[in-house]
Amino acid sequence: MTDQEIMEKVNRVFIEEFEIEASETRAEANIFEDLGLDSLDIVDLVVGLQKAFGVNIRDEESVRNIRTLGDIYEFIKSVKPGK
Amino acid sequence: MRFIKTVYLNLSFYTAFLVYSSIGIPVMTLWVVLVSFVRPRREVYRQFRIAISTYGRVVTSLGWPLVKIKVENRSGIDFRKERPFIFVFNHRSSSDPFLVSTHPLGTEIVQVVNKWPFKLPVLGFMARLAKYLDVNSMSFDDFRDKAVELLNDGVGIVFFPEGTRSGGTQMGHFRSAAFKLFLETKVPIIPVCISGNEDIPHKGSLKLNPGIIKVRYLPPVYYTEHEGSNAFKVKTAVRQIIEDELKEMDARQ
Repeated sequence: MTDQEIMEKVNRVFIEEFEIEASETRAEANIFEDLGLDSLDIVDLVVGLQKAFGVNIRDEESVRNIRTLGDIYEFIKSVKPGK
Repeated sequence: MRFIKTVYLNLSFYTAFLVYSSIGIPVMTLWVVLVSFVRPRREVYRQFRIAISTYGRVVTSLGWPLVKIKVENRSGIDFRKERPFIFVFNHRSSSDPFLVSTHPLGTEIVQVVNKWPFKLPVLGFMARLAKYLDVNSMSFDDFRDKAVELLNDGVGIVFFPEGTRSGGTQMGHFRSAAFKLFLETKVPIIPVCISGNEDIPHKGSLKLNPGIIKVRYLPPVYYTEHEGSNAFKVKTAVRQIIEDELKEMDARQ
């Protein structure tokens, strides 16, 4: 999966699962301060990403460090390396 | 003239507040302690909650006539007969937790709070005994279990999902706990809008300003409207309901 595909798929999770406007899905967007997620929403986010990418997300430490959409792109790249 | 009214309001309110609190809190505490000797535990909790609500209701009247409070129940619900509900309020000022007391007499509620109310002398003790919920001090599962126990007893739960005062007319982001609870319990949400109190007092100040505060209870949001959804989508929808209503309320101030 290419970096572009990962980015688009992550954005789609936010657009579909959280009804975030496509224009707000920027790499530098802070998912808490800009997009309004909180710690309880992270659980649903992880479920959405697992479904979208067919991966099991277990690295809680890495998930806790996520702040921006860009962090999520990088995180998904680390668990689902591109071809 | 406004300056004189403001000075008079603050002098009269805080004097009355101190006198009432120094007499009223011990009297209410004594009453509840006496009740605890003769009534079952459930009734004692109920008396604590009614005592806190009564205290808040009197405090909100101390600014009259320079601070007037108008309560509008547009929910179509008689809260004395139908219960429980999850109440979701916007949060502009430190007067908001007192304005929660404007709910119809006889309905029992607890507030979901951060740690600080529990640190208040006497009131903090009563809040703990009334089983107010400190959402930040426990896991969501523990919070949900305690909330379900209260809801099953017919006690309404009040949330300020912004988590902190907005300090103005713009609402902050909502946190998800109220909406996750809604999805898991299917207890309806009542959105409640508070308008006009952003300077009564302003965030960071104790100074009260004359004005009219409106508290409007809106129609319920039912689980069936959001079945299969997630907490984020529900909170976005409810936030929008409150935001739209506040626009209209603020425009009429």
